[in-house]
Amino acid sequence: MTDKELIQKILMNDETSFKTLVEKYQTMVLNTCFSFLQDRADAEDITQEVFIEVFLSLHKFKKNAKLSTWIYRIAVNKSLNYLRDTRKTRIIKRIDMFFSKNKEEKLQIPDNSDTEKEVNEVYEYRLKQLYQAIDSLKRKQKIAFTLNKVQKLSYEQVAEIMGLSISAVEGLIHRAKINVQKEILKNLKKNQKD
Amino acid sequence: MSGCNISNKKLIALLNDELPTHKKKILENHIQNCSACQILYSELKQTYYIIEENRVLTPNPFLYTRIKQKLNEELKTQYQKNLKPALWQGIKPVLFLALLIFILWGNIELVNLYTNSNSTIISNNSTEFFLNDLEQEVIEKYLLKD
Ligand SMILES: [Zn+2]
Repeated sequence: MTDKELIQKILMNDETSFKTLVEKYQTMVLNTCFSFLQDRADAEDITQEVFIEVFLSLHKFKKNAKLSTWIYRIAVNKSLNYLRDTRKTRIIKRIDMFFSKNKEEKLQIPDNSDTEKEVNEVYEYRLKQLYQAIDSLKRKQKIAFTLNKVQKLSYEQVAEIMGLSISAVEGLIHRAKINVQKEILKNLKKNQKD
Repeated sequence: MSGCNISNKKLIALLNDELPTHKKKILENHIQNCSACQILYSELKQTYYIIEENRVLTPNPFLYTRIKQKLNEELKTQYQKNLKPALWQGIKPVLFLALLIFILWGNIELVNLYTNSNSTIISNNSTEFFLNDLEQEVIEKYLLKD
């Protein structure tokens, strides 16, 4: 069944067609949300909200547009809004974690180690550093960079979702990449001094 | 680290392979011999390149059931939200009509009351008025004759 047929049937209150739509796009939506949120539970919650919004505003969807692009936009907006709305609690969480752990243990770059647990800790630490750096990007840079580098979408796809030219997207991604690396270095140096 | 002045810009350019060959060689040479730069560069590289990993999540098999459940709740609250203004919209013309009828009826009653009381006043005064008129006329006529 094509997307057009699916939409028509959903608009006629056909429940199985909505189920088909969810099954078709659930992996895409979940992974898009996860690429921004980096938390499985949060990504699952937002995925549910994305499909509810899709269902409720399907009548507004322009027939000549691409359904996947439209769903991507909803997923990106919902994820970024969630990040914005929970920024305060996430910062408090980080501060809590900082004080609950030994300061030295938290701030020093973990040494490369043989045991699996320590390897995982090093990996987790680096992962956190990376996503904190991405989190510090401006909105447009964050969207373009995350969709291209984390979600592995092509420049063309990112341009379509963001409604920008390919060269504009290239520029955003290049600046974002430099800014992420700068932020990682800044935090590394800060942590080395502590 | 204190005696080392390699900038972040240079390290980033090296990471992204954006340096001319001779500058690249000098920097690589320095990093090999400077432990502080070595740790920093290696850590930057390993942190940034986590992004190259392809982590794909598989959706929860109960995702659709949860969406359906939430959607039903959402539709229910939306229905209740829309029901109140709809009820009000339905009641409004009826209330307006009732008010109009009440005002109209009130006016009719008022007019009736006024005309009834006025007519009795007029009938009571009318004879007196004519009598007075008659008396005055009579006096004047007498005066004229004198
Ligand atoms: Zn150095």
